[in-house]
Amino acid sequence: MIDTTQNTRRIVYISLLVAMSIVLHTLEQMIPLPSPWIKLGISNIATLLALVLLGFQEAIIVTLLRVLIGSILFGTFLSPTFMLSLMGGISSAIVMGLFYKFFQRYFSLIGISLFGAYVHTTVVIMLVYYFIIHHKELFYLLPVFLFFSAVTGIINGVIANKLVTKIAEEKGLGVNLLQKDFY
Amino acid sequence: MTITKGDKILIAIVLVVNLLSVPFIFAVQEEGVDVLVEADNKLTGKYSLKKNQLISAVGPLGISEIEIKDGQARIVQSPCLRKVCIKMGWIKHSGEIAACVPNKVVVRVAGENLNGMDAVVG
Repeated sequence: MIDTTQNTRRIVYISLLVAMSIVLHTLEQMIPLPSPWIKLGISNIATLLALVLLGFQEAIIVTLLRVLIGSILFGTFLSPTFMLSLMGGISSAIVMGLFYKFFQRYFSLIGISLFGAYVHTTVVIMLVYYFIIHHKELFYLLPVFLFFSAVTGIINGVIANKLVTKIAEEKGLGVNLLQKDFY
Repeated sequence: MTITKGDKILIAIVLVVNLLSVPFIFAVQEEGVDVLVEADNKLTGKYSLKKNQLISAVGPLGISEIEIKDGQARIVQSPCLRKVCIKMGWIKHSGEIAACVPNKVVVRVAGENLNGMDAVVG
């Protein structure tokens, strides 16, 4: 059966990362930005950490919980924003997970975060086109959105990189062994 | 983790994709169908782009004259100081706008989908 100690550890670590993600999400809401749809997405750093430290499943769980609990906290549960955030977040997390699993050798978290940011933006724009604004003029904004999501993706990746390096240093392990260490 | 060569290549590709997506904007432009004229934030008329005509829009400063010709529209005369609206020139694609702000006149090209409002979200 499942080792209870390990299970508890897993739950605790996931919860900590979800809490971190929500705090980061709240923080970024407080920062004034030029456009309503351009977000920093720093809560994604927690997803990246979950990916490296815990695993694919756990990263998806962290993202899912963050979107759910964040939307309840902000009162946007089941609103269009929530749907966009959910779809974008989940597809972004899945893509990041897959890329990390198979192409870990080629990309650091910067590349992974960049993929995630692009997927998120693209999914959100597609959903907005099909369900909210049916005008092709929406795509005038595509280059702008893609540019900003690339920038924030890179920034998040750099931060996540440094965090992971720091954790690996303190444990005296290589980065690829971190996952095995937590279990 | 540190930045890898793969990361750098990816960033370069992303920049290129971004530059390439710019002409995408122009490919998506739609020809307009009607012209909506608003004066003082109220819709005063909807005119077909296909019919050559002259329209007068009355604003607080006076009358702005709008010409529709050969599937395009422009503001030809306006009582404003700077004549920015006239310099905006011809508009023909769905979503394009020429406006005389001092005189509160807005000329907007509507396509098949655009009806003056972009979207309403509850």
